[in-house]
Order: sequence, then structure tokens, then C-alpha cells
Amino acid sequence: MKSSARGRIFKIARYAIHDGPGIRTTVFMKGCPARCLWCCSPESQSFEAQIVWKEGLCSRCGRCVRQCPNGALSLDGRSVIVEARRCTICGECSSVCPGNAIGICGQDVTPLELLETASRDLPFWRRSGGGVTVSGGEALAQPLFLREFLELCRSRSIHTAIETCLCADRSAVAMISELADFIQFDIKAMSPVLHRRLTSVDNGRILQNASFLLKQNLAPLVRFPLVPGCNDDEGELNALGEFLAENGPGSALEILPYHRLGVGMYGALGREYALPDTPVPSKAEIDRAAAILGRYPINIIS
Amino acid sequence: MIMTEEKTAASRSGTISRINGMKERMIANSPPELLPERALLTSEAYAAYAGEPVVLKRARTLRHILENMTIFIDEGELFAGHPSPQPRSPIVCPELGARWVLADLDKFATRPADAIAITDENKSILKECLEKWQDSSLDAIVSGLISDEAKSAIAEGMITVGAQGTAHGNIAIDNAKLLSLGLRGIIGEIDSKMDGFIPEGAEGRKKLDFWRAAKISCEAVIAFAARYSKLASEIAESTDDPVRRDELLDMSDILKRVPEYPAETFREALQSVWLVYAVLYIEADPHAILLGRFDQYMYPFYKRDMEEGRMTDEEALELVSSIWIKCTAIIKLMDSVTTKTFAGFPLFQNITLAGQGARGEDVSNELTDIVLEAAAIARTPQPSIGFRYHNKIGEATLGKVCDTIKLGLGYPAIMNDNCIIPKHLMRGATLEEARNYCTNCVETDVEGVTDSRPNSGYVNFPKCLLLAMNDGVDPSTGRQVGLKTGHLRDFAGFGDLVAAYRKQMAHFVKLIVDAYDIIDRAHASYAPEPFMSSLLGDCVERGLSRQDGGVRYNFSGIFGVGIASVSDAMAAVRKLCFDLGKVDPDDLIDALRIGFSAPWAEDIKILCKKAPKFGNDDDYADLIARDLAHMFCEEVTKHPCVRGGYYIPELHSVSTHVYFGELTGATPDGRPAGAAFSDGASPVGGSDKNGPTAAVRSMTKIDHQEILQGVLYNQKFSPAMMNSPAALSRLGEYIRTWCDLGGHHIQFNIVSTEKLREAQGNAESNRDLIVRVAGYSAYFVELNENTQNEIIARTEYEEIY
Repeated sequence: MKSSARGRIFKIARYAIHDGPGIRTTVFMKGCPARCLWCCSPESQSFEAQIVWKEGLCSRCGRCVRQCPNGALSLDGRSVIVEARRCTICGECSSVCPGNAIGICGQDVTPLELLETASRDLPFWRRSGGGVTVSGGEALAQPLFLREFLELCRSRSIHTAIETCLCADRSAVAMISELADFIQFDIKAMSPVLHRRLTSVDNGRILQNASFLLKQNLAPLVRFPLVPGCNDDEGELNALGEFLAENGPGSALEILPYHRLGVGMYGALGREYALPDTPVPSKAEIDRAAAILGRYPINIIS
Repeated sequence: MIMTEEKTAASRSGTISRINGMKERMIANSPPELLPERALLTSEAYAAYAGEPVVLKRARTLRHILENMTIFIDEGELFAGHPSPQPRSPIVCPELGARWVLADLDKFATRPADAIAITDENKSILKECLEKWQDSSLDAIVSGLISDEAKSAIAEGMITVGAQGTAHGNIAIDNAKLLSLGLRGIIGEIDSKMDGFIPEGAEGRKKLDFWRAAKISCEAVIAFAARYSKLASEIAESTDDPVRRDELLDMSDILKRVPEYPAETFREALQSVWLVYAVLYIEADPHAILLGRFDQYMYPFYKRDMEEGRMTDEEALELVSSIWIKCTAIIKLMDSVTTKTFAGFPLFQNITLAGQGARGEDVSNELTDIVLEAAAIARTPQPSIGFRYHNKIGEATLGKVCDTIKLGLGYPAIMNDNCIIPKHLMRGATLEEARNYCTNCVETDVEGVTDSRPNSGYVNFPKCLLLAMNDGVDPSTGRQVGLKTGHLRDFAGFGDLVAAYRKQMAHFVKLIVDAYDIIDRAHASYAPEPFMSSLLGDCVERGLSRQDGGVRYNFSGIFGVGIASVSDAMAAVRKLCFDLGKVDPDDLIDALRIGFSAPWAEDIKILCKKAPKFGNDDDYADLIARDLAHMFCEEVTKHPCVRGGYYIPELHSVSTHVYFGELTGATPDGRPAGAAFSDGASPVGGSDKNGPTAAVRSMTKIDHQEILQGVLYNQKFSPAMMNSPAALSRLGEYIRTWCDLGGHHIQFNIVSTEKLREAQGNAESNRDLIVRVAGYSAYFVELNENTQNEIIARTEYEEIY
């Protein structure tokens, strides 16, 4: 058997019911080129495996510090400090942690290994018309692995879906347009300056990729994260409506209300959350955005 | 007939206001109260008929009670009948349980779970009455017969043995026969057996006694209906509201015809079934009289009434909704230990819906939908619904089931025909009979012809493992509780541990069998039920009560408790002591002995907790569960039971996993002393971390097919997982997949842990909150704190997003 590209994942979610048709098994790839301010899974951003320490679960017993063979951990009273330079991601710390407060985020797998794990859900996929969804991080940031994985799924008649931010090379986008059965992608902001401020990356390539996919007749699902005070002004919403009307009239758009479920993970990574004061949008705010976008020939899914 | 929308809305609000009124009067404003009436009437009858053969004495006692007990008709009721003088008032059967009621008499009002008030006057009346029964009640007799070894195993929390001072329930009579023949027809059958019968020998005499007793009871029930008929017409006379007066006069007329004669209409059929249902409680106050395949035996009456324009769907809905109120208004007196294991006044009343017909066809019908809707209107814990799934169930029907699940009542539970019908073939039924099974909370029986006695006993699996590790000595108490099967340190390999475990488990199963056989026989000698037996095939034919083995299919069920806990514990021992050699066997046992309460023991506890756990689709732990379940099946089914038939296994704990947990020290899965074990066959709460589909894969590695009495799987979903039509479709597909994989039963609790915690702190405003405990639903605030905590701790499958 030919040698396979290894991919780095950080989570597999079973019984995912909002990531494509049917009951799905969602694989989260590790690493993302973007840094969205509201990112709900900051542990997905780095391409490197890393140690995650969850403050709320930690009893400060110090077992991990004593266990670490490389002296990479220290306890400064309240916090466990990971010295990344010394950490070899060996996982010894996690093996003695009573509260599962410390652990490794990031695991390398071959496409076949991943499929074998995910395929435990095959009976559910067959009953529901579901399958595997590859999400992230950024699914397209590991294109060799992704291609092999999608080919493998297709050879076994397993339905595949991709969730992407489209911040990727055209070749990768073209690859999923051929090999994936369902694609959903995000558009986060239309103004280049705003996009850069919110995500730290340019949206030129993203919009070109979006336009490419919208014109392929693949019926992708476009998703727009509605973040109050960030991307919800009328100009932005109109620009999004115009873009979709021009590139994919009739295409499906789902408004994803901003949520704060990932806030706790920032602390676990020793990072600050960039939107400490942003509230989740009210129903009125969501309705207002839907009303503005509703003026365009697009199919808004609530 | 097409109704205008306006009219439909008006009649719906009429239904709701009737049901809410009944609920208010019969449940919310009827705090449980103990009354002595049934006990006093029994004492009178037993004194008067002291010289009669027991079965005749029992029939005449039933007649005496039915002639003299206080009866009532609630102002909203459309059909009558209740086992006691007022709603939510449990009855006392002194002939079955005098000692334990006496012992608990001062505790009923103050105990933490299922408190029941009693006035001082009634307490002293009851006390005086029960003291006369102290040496002759069934519990007194049984207590003298059970071996000391069994008693000590019960005291050590190794086993429980059921029905020592109460009747056996979990049984469904043949309602279809009742409706088609009426009690007069049953009497005709009895007469034809007696006609020309020449009693010869003890057996012949016994048969004749039984038939005479069955006939006396049936006649007594017919007379009981006449009392209700008279009461209804008396109330009608003094009722000003003309609508209510007509309802009462109709009720009075109906009660003149049923249950004596075959039912003609839906309402007559319901009245017939219900009055008999109430009498079955009066006769012996068993656990759980099942309502059986309600949407089947009632359907011909529904269909005819609809075709002939006698009834609207709304009227049917109103009648059916009342069943929930009337069932929840019946409660059973249980002792203070039992209330720990059966908290929340459960009676395990159950209605079966859908399933296959005699030729394997889908028999879900309009009445199936009406029953589901009725449950949504009534929203009370009893009766729960067992929905019989099979591959021909349509999307629309399954959708309605999911809609009902979403309400968070804890039912319907899904029962899988694909797995269960073959079980009844294995149990000896014909194909047609097998397809006619009805559901209990988890167990299933061929309707009207089975006496399968779940609750013969429960065995504590995790404690069997503790004994297997330590030569039969409980590490935390140092007492020799089990067989001497060697020490963990001397075992050459994991196989030795498994073999020792099997010996311990088999030993305690045998202790249950020995004790329960004695109890079973005592019931035949002292507590036959001639009335219920007359409605169970083939008691009349054979001339034997069900206690004497007159029923066509007989079994006794033994429940294995804590299968996931013991599998996790065994996986940890295997991993740490055998595979890795990381923990010294004696250190492990020492750590268990002190409940992990030392720094060095805490380190061992962490390793134990990190070992593989059942419920994550990891073969390491899952295959241990599978093998232990198989071993249990082999050990249980080898024992014949005294009524014919044999013992059958079940993986179900009701809430015994909490009770056994309290009596068991720390276990090698890292569980601290006193904590609850896993519930049913479900994974240990919180240890199944790979999501619901992984848990399902683990659960179905256990071979549900061979576990003849049933397997319980309780899954808790957060409301967010069914908050859209798409999410509900996924739930339906999920259920179908569970059944594809061979699961026996699955039920869902749809309540957020947040909501449960809030309810714990604020009982008053959460009196309506219903949760699925284990095979039954109960009001959350009526559960004791341990059970509440355990429910909260069960894994909540938050959507990972």
C-alpha cells in the first residue's frame, strides 16, 4: 500500500447534526491560517500539537509538574505554566492528571486510520444519509491529506462534506469541488480592511474562491457569522447580498449568530479573548440582518 | 365529520380544562395519605372465613372489600374506578406485609423519599390491626423460611430478594378477552369447566376450589360495578350542570353493562378495562398492572365508534388523557428501603403502542397517535409508554414518537421488535404470540399469558468483583461475604480473576434463586389471586391460580446491577495489574479498603480512572462487558423456577444501583465508596466521552438477544439536540440505527442539567418536572437527593460545535 500523508486533527465529534445532511461525524483538522477574533476553538489555530491546560478543572495538585520528564511545567500558585521550548508533547502530564485538566491537543493520523475510526458511525450514516464532515481549523490547509481522505471515502461510497473558510490555494478548492459531496464555507466580511482586522487575513483570495465555487453548480451552503459590532453594519450586509446575488443567485445562506462557547478555551491556552464585551446577537438583530439580506435573490436559512 | 377550526379549538380547550381539573384535584391537591380501610376489611374477612381453603378465603375477602370499601367519582371523570377511598392513597394489605408496615409506620410521614402522611388516629387504628397479623402475614412467614446465608447477603448489599411482603406485579391480563367476553363470559368458561367435573384427590379438590374462587371474584366485581353505577346516578341527581348530569347518567348506564358483558363502544371498553384494572390493585396491590397493547385491543371499538359517528377524535383523546391522571392517582405503599430503590412513587404502569401484528404487519393506527397526544396533554409520570419499533414503522409515526420524546416526559421508551420478538420465540412462544408481546418498563411479555416476575432479585455485580479480588472478603469491612476464591496477588492471569468473579456472581445468583423459590411457593400457599388469574391464560383451563403456575408462560427474572461499573473496574484491574504491572495487587486492595483516602491511594485512584471505560466504543472495556453479560445469562438461565419455566436475566437496576452503591466500598474503576453504580446497562455517568453514537456501539456489543428479560439503556440528551425539525429527524434515524444494531430498549431524558439543578434548589416551582429514573418516570422533586444527584451526573450529550 502506498504511503499516506499524515494529517493532524484535534477532535472527532460524533452525532454532529448541523454539519451537513444526516447524522455526521465531524473531523476537526488542526491549524488555520486565519485568526478570527471570535474563533470558538482557539486550540484549532496552531498547526503544532500543543498542551492545553483547563484552569477550571485543575486542582493544582502538582502531579503534572512532578511527572514531566523535561521540566517543562511549573506551578506558579494559580496557574500551570507550559514552557513550550522544553515540552516534547509526550503526554506524561495528562496520564497523571486527576481532573483531566491538562492534555495534548493534536494527533497525527493517516487517512485510513481516520476513516476506520470515523466509520464506527457507518450504520448511522447509512440510516440518515449522513457521512463525514471535515472541518477545522482549516480543512484545506492540509490538502494532500484531505485529497487522500476524500478519495478513500469516495471509494467506499461514504458521503463527505467540507467546512472551510476558503483561505486556501485554488488548487485545493478545485480538489474539494471534485471530491467532496457537499461544501459549506464562511464569508466573514466583505470589506478588505474590515476582514483583515477581524481575521488577520485578506479576503481577496477567499472571495475569488467563493465566486469559483458558487459558479460550479455545486449548491454549496454559505455561512455568515453575525458578530454584533463587528460585521453587522448595513453596508457589510448589503455588500454580502450583492456578492451572492452576482456570483450565485439563489444560493443558500445560513446566518450563524455569534456565540461565546469558546471563551473558556482561551484561558486554557493562556490567551486573552479578543471580544470580551461582545454580546450574542438578539433575535431582533438576527431578524434585521436577515431582512437586509432578504432583499437579494438568495435563500436565507434560519 | 369535518369540524370547523373554531369548534376544534373549543373542544380541545374543553379537554384540557377537564384534564387539568382532574390533575389538580387527584394529584396536585391530593398529598399522599395512608388510610386503614383495606386493612380493616381484610381482617374482618379473614376472621369470618378463617376455615376456608386459602383461594376461597382470598376470593371472599375481595368480595367483602368490594362490597364495603369507600368509593368516589371525581367531578371530572368520564369513567370510574379507584383502588382506595381517595386519590394518592396507597392501600395496606396486612395479609401480605404486616411486619414491615408496622416497622415503618412512624417513618412514612417523615422519610426523605416518597413521604406519606397519616393521621394519629389512623396510625393507631392501623397499628392495632397490623399487630394481629404480625405472625401470620406473608412477610412474617417468608422471613422464617429464608436462609440466614441469604439474609446476610441481603444485609451486605450483595443481593435483594423481591416480593417478600407484597404481591407480584409487572403483568398484563388478557384485556382483549375481557372486552369480547365480559366477566359473564369468563364465568361461563369457569362453569363449563366445573360442569360435570368430578374432583379426585388433592389436585382435583384444588382445581374446584380455584374455579369456585374465580367465579366468586368475578361476581364480586360485577357487583362492584353496580355500586359505582348507583353512585353515578346519585351524584347525577344532585348535579345542577345538565352536561355533567348527562355524563354521569351515561356512566351509570355503562357501568350496568360492563365489565359484566362484552363492551360495545369505546367508552364502555375503557370503563370495563379500567374498573377491572382498579380491582386488580385492590385484590393484592401488586407493582405495575400493565395496560398492555392498548392501541390494539381498543382499536376495534374506536374504529366502530368513528365509523358510526358515535365519537369524535377529540372525545377519544379526552377519554384516553384521563388514563394518565387516573394512573398517577394510584400509588403503592413501599417500605423505606424499597423507596430508595424505587423512588418517586413509580408503579411501572405501562401502555404498549404499535409493533407488529400477527402476520408481521405494522399495526400502528390512529389510536397510536391519540395515545401519544394524550400523554402530551396530561403530562404525568404514569403510565409510561413503550413504543414497539420495527422496520415497517413509517416516518410519520416515528416523527410523532420523537415529538413526544422531546417533551421530556422520559417516555415513550423505544422497544425493538427486531430484538424482542425472537426472544419470545426463544422463551417458547409461537410466532403469533411472540408478535403479541406487551411492554413493561424494560421487560416484555406475551400479553395475557405470561407471569414473568421481574424483581425476583437483584445482584450487585461490582461487589462480586471486590470479593473475587480478595478471597471473598469485602475489602472495606474485612468480613467474609463471598466464597473463598483466592487472592488477586495469586492469580496467574486475568482469566483467573474472571473465573473467580464468575464463581462469586453464580453463588449470589443461586442465593437469590433459593430464597425466591421459597417466596414463590409461599405466595402460592398464602396469597393466590383468583380474580387476576381468571383473566390470565390458561389459569381457568388448568384450574390453577397464577401463583400455582396456571399461566401459560412462567419465568422469574434476576437483575444484574452495575454491568458498566463492574466492566470498568475489571478493565482497570486488567490494565494496571496484569497488562502494565503498574500497580501491585495488594496495594490496589489496600487503596480500596481505605476508599483511596491517602495520598498514595489517590495516585492509584487516578490510574484507575484513566483506565479504559465502557461506553467509548473501545473494545478493551466493551468486550469485558459483553463477556460478563453473557456469563450472567448462562448462570441465571440454568435455574428452573417453581411454577414451571426458568429464571431469566435482565440488565436493569431501576434505582438499585444507587442503593447497592451506598452499601459498597470503593471499586477499581476509581469510584469512591458509597457512590452510585452505573444505571441499567448504561455507561457510568460521565465516562462515555466519545458521544452518543460511540456509546451506542459499546452498548450493542453486549448481546441483547440472549438477555431474555431485557436491557435498559438510558440516554440523556440536552434540549438543544432536538430543537428543530431536522434535529428531530436525526433523532428518528438515530433510533432506527440503535434498533438496526440490535438494542432491546432505549429511552431519553430531555432535561438540561441546569434545569435539574434549579429544581433541586427550588422544589416548589418545579413540581411538574418529570424525569426518567430508570425504566420509569417520576416527579423529580419527589426523588431523594442521592437519586437526584445521580440523574444530574448522567452524561449530558451537549452538542459539540
